[in-house]
Amino acid sequence: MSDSEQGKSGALLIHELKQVDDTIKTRAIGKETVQIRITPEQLRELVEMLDRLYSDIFPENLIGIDFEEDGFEIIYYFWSRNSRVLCKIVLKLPADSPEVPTIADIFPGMEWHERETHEMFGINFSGHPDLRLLLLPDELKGEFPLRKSFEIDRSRIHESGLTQRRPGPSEGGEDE
Amino acid sequence: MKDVLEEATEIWFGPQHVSAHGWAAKLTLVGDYIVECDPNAGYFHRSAEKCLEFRDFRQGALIMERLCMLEAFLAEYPYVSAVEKIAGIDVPDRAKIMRTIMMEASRIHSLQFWWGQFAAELGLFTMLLWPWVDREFFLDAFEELTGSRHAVSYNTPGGVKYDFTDKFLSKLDRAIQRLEERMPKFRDMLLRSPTFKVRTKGIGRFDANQGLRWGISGPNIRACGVPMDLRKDSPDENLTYDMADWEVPTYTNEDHPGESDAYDRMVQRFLEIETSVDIIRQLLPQVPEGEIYERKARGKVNRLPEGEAYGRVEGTRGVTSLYLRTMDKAQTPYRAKIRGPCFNSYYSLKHLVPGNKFADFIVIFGSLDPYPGWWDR
Repeated sequence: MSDSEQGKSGALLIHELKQVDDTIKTRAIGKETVQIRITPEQLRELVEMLDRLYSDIFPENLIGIDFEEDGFEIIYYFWSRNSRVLCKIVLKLPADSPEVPTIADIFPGMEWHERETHEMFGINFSGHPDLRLLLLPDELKGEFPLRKSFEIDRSRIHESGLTQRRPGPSEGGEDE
Repeated sequence: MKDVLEEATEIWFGPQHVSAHGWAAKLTLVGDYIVECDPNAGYFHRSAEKCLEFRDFRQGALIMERLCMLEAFLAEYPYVSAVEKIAGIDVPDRAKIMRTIMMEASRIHSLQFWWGQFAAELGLFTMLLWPWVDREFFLDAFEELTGSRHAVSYNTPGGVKYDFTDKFLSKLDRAIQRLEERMPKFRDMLLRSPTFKVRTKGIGRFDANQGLRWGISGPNIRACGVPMDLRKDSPDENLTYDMADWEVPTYTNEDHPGESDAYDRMVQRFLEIETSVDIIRQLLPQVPEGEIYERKARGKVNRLPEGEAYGRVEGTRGVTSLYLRTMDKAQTPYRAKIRGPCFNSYYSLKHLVPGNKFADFIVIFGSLDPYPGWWDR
């Protein structure tokens, strides 16, 4: 890893992408950010390409957004320090059965981000090694709290199951 | 041949363990060696991202700083920065430099806290108390400035809330002077201590490439010799790191260049403190006269136009960022996603820990400077 990569700016990425597939929509935002809009099928290929192009690519963030009937949007952020490129990958997913291939095997750093997005939005990451709940208690399994349809009104809190006491081991509950 | 895993024991480290403050990991042991580590998150989960969707753009920063009280000035900044980007607010020069100074003071405070805690986790309890006494002087300065020791709520879209006073400046100066006097002594004492060396050298080693793939950033990756630092690489237009002359602190261990162990990460964090002190010392005389708050911001933050912004800052523990999405004439965010730097460093225990002795687990964990608020949110 050296500074020789400096100057391999976002323009290079856009150029390389054009060579692979000129239907991919790319746009440079500001000095650093390159926004790429792709379909879920193209994701793994693109991420492998980023891995090849930039030796110090850093999986920074994964964001899920719920647009209700307009489906979901997923945004990946990758940062390359040597090239000063912030790569923003935007995917559109349908509202019913949203699914996207996992990239946790290429970048392990994304494993928990995917796991979190799965439990919060109900987006399925196919091929992910471990999609257990990460932050949520067991009562909220399948409730997807960050979806807009999830009510947080106090008058309905009993529907979440969080107000009832969990049965202890002597009452037939699980011993954890 | 018998499978060693048949004799494996599963034990929970935390959440009641003294060092496990709000987290737990399931460890699978064969004899004294860990063969599998499954870090568990969620004990602190307060759904900050959902909360942000129901708070207006002034209130949001308050939720952010509560995620990590140790670096409150830094923690609230990604949110403030994202709001400013969408609303198109210009920040006065005086506020920019004041923000930068306070963020560095906050970084020093957080590192002092961690340094004491890490030493205590190794059983060196005297080293817990000394840096924590010095840390009190920074807290006094914060209290003088904002009225609060931890929940400072200093940055706000459009500037800062409280102006520097002479009393505050003298308190900050006293805190820094005390740190400069005492830190070298403590550093040498700790780094030369045979106990400390035995417990940390060669423990929790990873190389730069692995670290980046796991999503580790900040001092943990800089200890591998990678000068990755958002303060230099992607300078924020509303902060003034370019007004000081400083280098990104990196530490390279001669024995294993490109890799870092728990000892290297400790050395690295002392360098971080020195750099922060240097930046503050250079910036303090340069604070210009003027407003600390852009008056036009008051109306602008009531309703934001449709847009998206990504606020990033180099936190004490690494890349801290917030993604903000707003709809037209929004009073609250449509979506806010927080990236806590410790989310990934905690995750990486899964790869770092197996193969080590049980007693070394807490050393590896502690050396990454983790803070549960950042992964649970």
